[in-house]
Amino acid sequence: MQFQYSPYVIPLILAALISGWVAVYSWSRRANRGAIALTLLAWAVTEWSLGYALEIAGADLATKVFWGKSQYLGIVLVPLLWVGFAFHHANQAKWLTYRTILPMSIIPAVTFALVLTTEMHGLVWDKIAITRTGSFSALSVSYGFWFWIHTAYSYILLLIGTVIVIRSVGRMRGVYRRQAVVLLLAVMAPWIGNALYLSGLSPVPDLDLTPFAFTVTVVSFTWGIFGFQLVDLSPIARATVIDEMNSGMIVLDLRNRIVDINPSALRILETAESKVLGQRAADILTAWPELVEKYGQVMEAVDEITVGEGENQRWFELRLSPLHNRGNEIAGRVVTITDITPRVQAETQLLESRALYKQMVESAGDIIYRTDANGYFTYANPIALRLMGFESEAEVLGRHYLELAAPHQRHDLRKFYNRQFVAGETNTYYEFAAITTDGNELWLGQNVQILREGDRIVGFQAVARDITELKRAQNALAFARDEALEASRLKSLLLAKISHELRTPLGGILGYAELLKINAFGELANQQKEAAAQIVDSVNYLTKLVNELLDEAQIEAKTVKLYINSFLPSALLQSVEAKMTLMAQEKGLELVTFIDPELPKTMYGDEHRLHQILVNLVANAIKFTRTGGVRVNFLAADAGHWAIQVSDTGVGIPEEAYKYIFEPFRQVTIPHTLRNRGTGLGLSITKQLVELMGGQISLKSRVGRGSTFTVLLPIQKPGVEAI
Amino acid sequence: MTNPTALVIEDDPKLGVIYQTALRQFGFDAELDDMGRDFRARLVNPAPALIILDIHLPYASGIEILEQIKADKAWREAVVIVATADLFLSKSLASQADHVMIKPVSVDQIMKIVVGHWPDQIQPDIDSQ
Repeated sequence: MQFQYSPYVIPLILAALISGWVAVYSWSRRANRGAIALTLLAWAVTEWSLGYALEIAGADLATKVFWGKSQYLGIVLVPLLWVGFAFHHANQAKWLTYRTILPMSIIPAVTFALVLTTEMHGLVWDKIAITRTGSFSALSVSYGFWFWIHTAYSYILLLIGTVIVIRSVGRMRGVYRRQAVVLLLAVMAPWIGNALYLSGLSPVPDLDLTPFAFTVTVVSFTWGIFGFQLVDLSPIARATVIDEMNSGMIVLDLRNRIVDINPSALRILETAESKVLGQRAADILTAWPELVEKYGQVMEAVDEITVGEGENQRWFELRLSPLHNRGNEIAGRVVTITDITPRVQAETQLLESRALYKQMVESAGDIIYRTDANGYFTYANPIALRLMGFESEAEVLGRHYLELAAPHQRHDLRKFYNRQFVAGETNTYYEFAAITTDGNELWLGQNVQILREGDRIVGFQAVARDITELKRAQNALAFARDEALEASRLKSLLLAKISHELRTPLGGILGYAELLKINAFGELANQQKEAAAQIVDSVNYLTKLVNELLDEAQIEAKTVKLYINSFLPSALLQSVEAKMTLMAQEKGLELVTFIDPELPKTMYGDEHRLHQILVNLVANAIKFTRTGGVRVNFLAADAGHWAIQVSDTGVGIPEEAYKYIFEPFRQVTIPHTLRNRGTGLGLSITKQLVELMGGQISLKSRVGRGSTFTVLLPIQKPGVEAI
Repeated sequence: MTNPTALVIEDDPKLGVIYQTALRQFGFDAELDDMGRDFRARLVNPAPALIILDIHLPYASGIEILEQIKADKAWREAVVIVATADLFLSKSLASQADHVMIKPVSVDQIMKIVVGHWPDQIQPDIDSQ
């Protein structure tokens, strides 16, 4: 191959270098979808330009023919790739499949094959010669039949690509506009170049300007796509961001025509893209006429709109923002429509439950308030305000809860709630006195609950009740109890005093009566002696009454002490028997005693009081028995207890009387008791003495058959005093 | 044979007279100290065989008197009956006195004590019934 220098080579080499650079550059940005198509197109242009340059530089025919043929690789590919790029750029790449690309590639492939073999059939080039104009020399050929098919086909593809790009440019508004101009330039360049070449207006008549034109094209595209830093706003980005977003987006131009709309907006409007593009917004939004009227000329707004009713009601957030071009001129508006139905429904539910809660809290009969974690009020319900005497919640908010407590309670209150806070105890109850604005004490019983957010304690919620009346009642009760105890103590004291003071005059009456009886003051007539005996009898009764009253009083006042000493049960029983036998005999009754041999021979206890218990029970038994007898048993009950049992064959005690027979001054009201005067204290004292000894007394009786009193007592150990 | 002597120390005049009368009936030469005031003067020989002693006295404490009686060689042998209305004191004096009687003290009881110490002292014609 031989080459010779020609200045025409330089612009072609330059064009090849430029389009080669574009290929490399756009390949480096191939993440953008249109970039790969642009790369291929740029390579094709490069190959064409380079081939053409070498054809011109070729020194002989063979060299020129070789390079002339090799250019055709670029020549047939450029229109094809141009269409491919156009589809990509217009975001219509979905049309590019094997089923469309392969048929479109048939003619270019045939053309290239025919070019390589043109000497054999002349279908592309017929006569091949070299034409020279000054230093310019190129192949001069006459074209064959297929060349024209190829040319026509190329123009068709060029036209299709141009239309696609122009259409996509036509949809661009605002920020896209300047890019659109550049893209138009890129599209127009091949046409202008071709027009110059074919019309013969080219500065160099035989030089084909098409590769130059395509160089301009690829450079323009590069500038248009990457140069404006508009890659993110390119149709590719739009596809991924705008098409897939949930919000509906509509772009309006200044005349309120829809220039772009995304699938979500179409879904919301229930329409198709083909029906709305280029249409006036007012014609599309017929369902929402008030919106058109309200926002027809508003550039920037945020609003919530609702569509439908009842179950089907939907809420949308409408956002209008102006679109500016690079010159900061307003180019149109973007309308975004977001379906906020779930959020609105959730908010509505929240508001409803809050309203319900508020209504419950505000209408509650109890005091309800909240404090923050430090104890400062953050809420108080109306009843709380009213009871505490506040006019409004503002008077309370921010104050510390201790300020409202009675001063003498603050220390304990603080301690109590600090403990709850530290221990993290969820729920507590506490009673304390608050001080109302009038200075009155308001007793509150309150449940306090810890309020948490996660693990953090953010405050307290208290539900409190006015327990002032309850407290007053309790205090009154406590006071009454103290009073009663004091009264009881005084009564006991009084009884002790009276019994003491009664003894001396009783001694006088008894003594004089007895002296009369024994004729100390001279011989008495029988009637007089009888009178003296009656006086002695009455005094003995009175003395017994005084003794029992005193016992009862002492037991009630808990001043009775037991004197625990060792004693012989047999001796105790004998002394009781000795004392009571005469009384039994006077009524013709038999008094029988029995000691269980199991019982210890020596026991411990207050012998005097045991004697008193026995005498009481035996005297009662004799008193209420007309025929038969009275039996006294000392029994070993179990390892720790022994029993005194006094049975009679007397009148018996009705069951309904069991429960009160041991109460002081109570007697069973039967004719017999009316004739058998007693103090009514005997059984009461007996029971209390038994209990004082740690034992218990029980009764079994059948009316008309007799009664059995059983006293169960613990067996005392030496030196251990009874309770 | 001379009668045994008895001393009644009792501030209540009625009771004093009753005890004195009763003891005279039982064959004692009974004297009465109604205040506990003349006690020291009387604490001479011959010592009385029987003493009835009240505890609450205007000028002396019966307890102290009892202690002095029991400390005196000549008087220690006397049978002392403490007669009191004080139940509490009656318990604590039980070990020091020969007898403790709670008022109202019965003449019958005094007679039983006398019979216990001097079986032949009382005339059979006195009818205690």
